[in-house]
Amino acid sequence: MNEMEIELRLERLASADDAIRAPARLRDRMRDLEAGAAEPAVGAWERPRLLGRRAGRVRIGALVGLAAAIVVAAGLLFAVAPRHDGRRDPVAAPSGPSFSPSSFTKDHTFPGSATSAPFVASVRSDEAGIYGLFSMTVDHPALRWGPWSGLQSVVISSPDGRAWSMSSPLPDLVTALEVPPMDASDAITAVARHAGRFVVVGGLAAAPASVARSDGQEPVESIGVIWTSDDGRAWHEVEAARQPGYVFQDVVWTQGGFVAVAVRAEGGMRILTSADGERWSAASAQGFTDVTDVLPVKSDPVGGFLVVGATRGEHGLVSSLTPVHSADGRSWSSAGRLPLPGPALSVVYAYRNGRWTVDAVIGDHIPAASVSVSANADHRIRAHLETAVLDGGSWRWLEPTREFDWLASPYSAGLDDGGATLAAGAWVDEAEGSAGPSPSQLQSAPVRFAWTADAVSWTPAGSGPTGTPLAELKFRGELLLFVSTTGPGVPSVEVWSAPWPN
Amino acid sequence: MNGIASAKPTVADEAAPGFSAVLAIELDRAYRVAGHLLGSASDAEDAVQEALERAWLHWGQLREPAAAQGWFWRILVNVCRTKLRKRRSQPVREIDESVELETPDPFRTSLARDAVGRAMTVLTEDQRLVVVLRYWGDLTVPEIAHRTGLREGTVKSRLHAAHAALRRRLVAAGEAEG
Repeated sequence: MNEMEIELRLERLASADDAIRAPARLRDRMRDLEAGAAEPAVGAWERPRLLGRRAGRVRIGALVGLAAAIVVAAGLLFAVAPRHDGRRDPVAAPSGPSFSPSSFTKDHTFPGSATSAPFVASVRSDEAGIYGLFSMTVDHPALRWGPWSGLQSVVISSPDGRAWSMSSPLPDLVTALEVPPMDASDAITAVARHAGRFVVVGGLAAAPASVARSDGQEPVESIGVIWTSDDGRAWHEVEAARQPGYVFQDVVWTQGGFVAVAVRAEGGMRILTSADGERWSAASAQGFTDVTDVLPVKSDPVGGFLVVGATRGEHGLVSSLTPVHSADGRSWSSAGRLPLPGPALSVVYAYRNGRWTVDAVIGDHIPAASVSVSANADHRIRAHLETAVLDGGSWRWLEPTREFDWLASPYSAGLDDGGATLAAGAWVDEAEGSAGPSPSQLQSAPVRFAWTADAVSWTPAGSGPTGTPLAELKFRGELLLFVSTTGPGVPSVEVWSAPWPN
Repeated sequence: MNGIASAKPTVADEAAPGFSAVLAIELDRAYRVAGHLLGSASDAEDAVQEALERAWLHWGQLREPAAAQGWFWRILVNVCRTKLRKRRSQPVREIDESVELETPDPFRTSLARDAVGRAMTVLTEDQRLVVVLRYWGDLTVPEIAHRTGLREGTVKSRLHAAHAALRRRLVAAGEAEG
């Protein structure tokens, strides 16, 4: 088979798709815009999104992305009775926090551009404040291969969660490594800070090795890269820490030092540690050839770490986990793969009440061949929560499965040494129609908070700013930070804050 | 028609080029291209809607109506690429598609019915972009270059690399002779 035959088959394949037409809703939307009937550009969440008009099916996808959580002080804990019957949780022991839209003020806006929506990632806090990565796609200057659209990232930071500043842009890897941009894409994935030094990780995700390089040279190999900066202006790459074949997915600072985790697209995970961000060494536990992704690295209050590798199956759903634990950052151990009872929408894990737990949120109606979720026979949406605990060096699943139905979206949660969690997601109390919550009802639902002391029993904790989709949620000092991404128009990242209720 | 209008054009603003008239003819192709870049009908709808809204917001600033279609495609491509990047940046991937059980996703169905379509998973994001624009967008190499900001040589080299990758995958899968 030669190139011409490939072209002909692609042409035939594409021609057969001519029958696929844009939904009439798109034409309606276009006419609405022109007729001035469209709503003002106040934010993507308020857009009358097209999927909102689908009846009889509930789309949770966008909602999963909204879910977020923060850690809170152990002193705020309260206890409520668990309930496992899947009905609306009647427990009302609201000793947790409560918020309302008026609790929040918009402190800062990071603007994007007219053609590229920005996003935030890796939001973290330490004794000096809060910081994260702000990224958007930009057109880079012409290289010898031509202009290209790449990622530009800066570190954003604030001492108090209200006044923010931006670092100089991170280096452009494609230019720095002189790799044809058509053969690889850049990734800047996470930031950590200690004693004023920023450590940023990422890399260049290359085309599969089987693909010839477009300029005829040897195929490009993925490479994991670490940068540091002591002032947020000058960035320096730690060349000795490069990881050929891997791309760094996360970095954190804990009491034991920096921990960075890199993953190989074909399967494989490497853990590196460093006391200062400059000199890195590989941890003893390596390999994990099943791992194709890594979830955020977490630490416990006594200097330990938990790295959770994930194996993803169809549609990006997580099919198994590989927790790797270290009590001191030097010696690592893993009990191997932890198969999930079903494909998981969301996985969260934390140090709860003196031990590590891993939760997998598994939708009740997730067909194997699809990621859609339909309403149940009683028109409620449910998600099962499966929890595994590290028990005597091995992992086991807790029984019974807990089920809750009052959050309209599966949640994501994190927690501190005390075990308390504030989760957020779109929330529907009661379905409007007979077919369950309509998509439009879900789309217009406010971002609401739920509070738990033990990850078993949850109680409502108020709602967030309206009309702006949640991207990150963080607790800093006495402030709850709500980071959102707006659009359309010139999209931007907004930082809102609310005082933590006493 | 000078094409220069206020930032928020209205139908009464005769200076503004016809938004619907200009872009309606692109809509089906834009939807198909977005669908094959993002892999699902619902994401394609979201992306095209977002691109339309961004285009509308800045429509009044468009000085060259003749360039409107290329400009819209540039916005659409950036929207799609940003969505792909967001997927990669999220540690727990957003479940970004809703497939109605009784209505299989047309884009997945389309690719699944042919070995070449199934082999497209081997392409890099940038290779997939030029392949989708070339065949599903029915654009020439100069048009792809114009609408993506790439040089024609770059488009050609990406297409060539994509064809080679597809061929290797087909051979490896026993779908074609070496």
